[in-house]
Order: sequence, then structure tokens, then C-alpha cells
Amino acid sequence: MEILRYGHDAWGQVVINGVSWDLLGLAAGAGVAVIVIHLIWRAVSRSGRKGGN
Amino acid sequence: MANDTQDKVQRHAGIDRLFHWVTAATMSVLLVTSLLPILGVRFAWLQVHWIAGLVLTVAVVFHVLRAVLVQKPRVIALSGADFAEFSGGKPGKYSLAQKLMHLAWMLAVLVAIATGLVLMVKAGTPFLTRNPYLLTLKAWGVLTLLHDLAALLSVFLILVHVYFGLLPEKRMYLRSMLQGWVTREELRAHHDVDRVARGE
Repeated sequence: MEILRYGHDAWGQVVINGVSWDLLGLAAGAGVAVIVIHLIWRAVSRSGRKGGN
Repeated sequence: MANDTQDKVQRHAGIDRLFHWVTAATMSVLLVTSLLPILGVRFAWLQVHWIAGLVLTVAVVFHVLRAVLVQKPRVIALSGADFAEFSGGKPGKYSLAQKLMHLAWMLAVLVAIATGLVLMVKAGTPFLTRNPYLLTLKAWGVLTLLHDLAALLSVFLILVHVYFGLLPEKRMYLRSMLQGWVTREELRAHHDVDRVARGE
């Protein structure tokens, strides 16, 4: 997976063009991961509370 | 949270709710116009993008001025007392999670605006003569890199923010962002009313 996008200037030197768009999936995946982890934690803590009652 | 009426306690004034939804709308337009072309959907995205960016800029400037001059900025600022939530303490007006979310949005939006305004010189607009020679290629690259990172952070934050906003147990916060109020019972159940009264 690329981290950055690169280009070249008039002298052929490598310059940064921005972030690699491969990271778009990573950002969205991180968001989905937080949601899934929270849903699991929420389900476990709720079942624990029900069990305690 | 002033202006109590019967059982309702105002959480967000109308003008703050308007700011929130203008920000939500412009951020959505900004992300759709910038990310769809990357995903292969071709259209003239740039003009819509910078117009939405300018609307967002005006909204954020208004929000910052209102927060500093009219409201109490410390109500949203992180403090040591916020970490009492880990030991069962209740938050003031905003929970630790809400303050962290605001902080993350602040970072993403301010970086996006600051870099976006300069990048408009490179792109050119009807009121700004295009000047790609204002900065070196390396400097434009770094600005674009920061703008891209702000976009990626925004993608992450939108997913998490919308998810928590839609959770049934957090519905009171969504309602308060739509209608402005929470009930006195909800306030007592989820917040430390003394901290709220102190403007924390």
C-alpha cells in the first residue's frame, strides 16, 4: 500500500503530490472498525447487565 | 443550558443548530465532490468544492467568534474533571467523548480550511487570479498532503459521529441538535447539573 502520491518537478526531482488514495479505504475501515468494536462492547456490557439482574 | 420551559431544558440555541447542519451539509458536499472523482466518477467538481469550502469557512468563522465572544469556550474545553467519567462521574454539558469529537473535528476542519484557501490560488476562481507559481511544487505538495489528511480524518469522523448520533441511547443528543432541547430528567440522568450550572 502506498502512503503518498509522488510527481516530478521540471528538473526531474521527486516531489510529494499528496496522500495516496489507498488510504481512503483505511480511513473508512478505521471508522467501521470503531463502530463494530463499540457494537460488540455494547452488546457484551448489556448482556452482562441483564445477567446481573 | 438555560431558558428552561416546563420539563424542557435548552441545550443548543437555534443559531448553533443551524451552524451544525450547515457544517454537516458543506462537509458532505466537500467530501462527495473530492472523493467521487477519485473513485472514478467524473464531473466538474472543483467549482462546487470551493464554493462549499467558502460557505464552510464563513460558518466556522461565525462559530469561532460566537464561541469566544458570546458563549463560554471552556464548556467544550477538555479539563481534568472530564476524566472523572472513568470512575463513574457525570459530565458537564459535554461528555469526554463529545469534547474529543469536537477537538478532532476542529483539527480536521481548520486544517482543511487553511490549506484549502491557499490551494484556491493554485486552482483559480472567478475572483482570484490563478497563480500556480505562488509557491514551489514542494510547498504545494505539502499543502495538498495536509488537505488530503484532513479529508481522510473527516471520512473517519463522519462515520463515527453519525453512528453515535443514531444510537438509541444517544437519541436525546440528536433530538437536541434538531429541536434544541433535552428533558430535565435526561439532563439529571446523564449530566452533573452542578457542573452544567457552572458552565462546564
